[in-house]
Amino acid sequence: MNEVVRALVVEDEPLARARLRELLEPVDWVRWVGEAASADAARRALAETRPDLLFLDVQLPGGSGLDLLRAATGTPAVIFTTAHDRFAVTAFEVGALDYLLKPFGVERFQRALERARPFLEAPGASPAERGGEVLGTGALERLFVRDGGRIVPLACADVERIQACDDQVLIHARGAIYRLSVTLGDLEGRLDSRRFVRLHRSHLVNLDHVASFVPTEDARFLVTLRSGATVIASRQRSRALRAVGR
Amino acid sequence: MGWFAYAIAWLAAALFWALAASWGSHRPPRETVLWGFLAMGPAALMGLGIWALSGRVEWNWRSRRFLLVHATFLVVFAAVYATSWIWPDVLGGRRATALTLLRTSPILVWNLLMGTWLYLLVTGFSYAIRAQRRARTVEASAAEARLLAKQAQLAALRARINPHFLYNALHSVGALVTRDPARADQALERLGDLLRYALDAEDQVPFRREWAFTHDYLAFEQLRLGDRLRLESQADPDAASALVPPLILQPLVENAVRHGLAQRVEGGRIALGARVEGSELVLTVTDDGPGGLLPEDRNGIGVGSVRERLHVLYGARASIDAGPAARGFGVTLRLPVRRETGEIER
Repeated sequence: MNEVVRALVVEDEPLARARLRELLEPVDWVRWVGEAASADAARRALAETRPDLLFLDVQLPGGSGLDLLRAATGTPAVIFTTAHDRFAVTAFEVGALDYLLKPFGVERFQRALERARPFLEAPGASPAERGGEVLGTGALERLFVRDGGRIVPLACADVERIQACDDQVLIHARGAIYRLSVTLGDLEGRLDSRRFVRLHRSHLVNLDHVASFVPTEDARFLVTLRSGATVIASRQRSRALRAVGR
Repeated sequence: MGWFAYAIAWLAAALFWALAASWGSHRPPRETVLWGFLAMGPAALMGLGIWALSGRVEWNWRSRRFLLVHATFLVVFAAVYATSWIWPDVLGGRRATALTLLRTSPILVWNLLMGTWLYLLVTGFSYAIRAQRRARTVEASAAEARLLAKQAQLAALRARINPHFLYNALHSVGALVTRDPARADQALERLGDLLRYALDAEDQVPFRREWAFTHDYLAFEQLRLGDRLRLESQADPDAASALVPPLILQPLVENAVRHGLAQRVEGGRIALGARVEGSELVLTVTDDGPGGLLPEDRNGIGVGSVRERLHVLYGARASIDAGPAARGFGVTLRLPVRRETGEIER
């Protein structure tokens, strides 16, 4: 496998484009292979350069960066670069590696690259394999959540439980709670069903984070997580859990 | 509720009348109660007429119409009131008895005076109540106007200077820092000016400041979009000192950038114009984008917020016209010219 990650920049603003190129220059394991300023140009550049990594601005003249991804063949890994935080949900839907919120500088750029590095260099993470995730069929590996003024990726393995809250969800992970504008049902459909199970109407837990299942007197389960949090499963879900356990 | 109070007041008057009559005539009150109702009933009915009248004839001592109308109605009211107690006899066919009674009545003059007094009382109350109601309505609409102004200020901080404009502007400056430090320095100064202008909550500014701000704003969009944004602008020297509400052009310019050219690969042209036509300041923002294609989008928040502000500030004296132009989309604002001295030109 090629040691160098080949990166394409798709960005309609000339200065922002130059900036990305500049930021990439000192990074020895990534090589800039081209840039595009519109959706059409990006389609062509994608076909020609077949990059491993795509820096993608969402709003482009002539179409959105998301449509571009959906239509592209041999999808590369993607890092979003945009001033809008409202694409965070879409970003994980298309399996983006990271989400750089403008304005960003050297520090955040490098941090994002370092975070992305293991995924980019892992032999299993070939573009073809990520295809399922991008096209909305495979299970998601990470979510993007707001953390103060930034959007950060959150590995699904780190998620302890997810709670529905109106039309949003609260994600409990790494000792913090993140809010995300997506319904629990939609999110559940995109998560690995072997890992995340429904305990009742408004709660999903990550089985990897469960410390114990204790049956209660009324034939339900009291689920204790490693963090100490407890959730009582509904009667119906408890039956389903017993079936799984058998 | 008002009519209930009105009925109670007249009922009290009737009972009081009956009591007074009982003392004067040395008869038990239960016999004089009927008199009370005979005296006050017609007055109460005529009072309704006075209320209606007070809605049609404006209170004005100096108006001849006001005096004439009320003098006429006063005479009628007093006459009807003073003679109301003989009506049962008249209607009962005893007209001669009634007239004799009336002629020999020791209290006819007194009743006429009483009628006059009642008329003045009801008229006074009617106008007072109407004045109070009007004051309340005026107060409510003033409160509404204040609320709108506050909301407009808040919107100015958030919507008019779209936060994404700032994020993008900062990102552009960040890109300049290493490539062209002198330009980065200049851009930061401009960004400071821009923010100061947008955050200062002045009601009216000379147009030259709004014009300069709009150009600073577009300079950042040009920094961002490069040669995809081409700008033409032309202003009458006359327009410079006219007063305008700040940030009145910005939403329109933002729209022109977003819908007129940001979505087109080849970009486009924005033309700004300012001229004085008679007593009006005419401002135009035109772009050569796909004007006819997206009329709903193009009339969106930008045009709506400007229209609302103009309406609150100038009422019918200002107008905004938005629609497809010869090439693309154009918005024309017309507002009355006020100079820095504060007068409106005629």
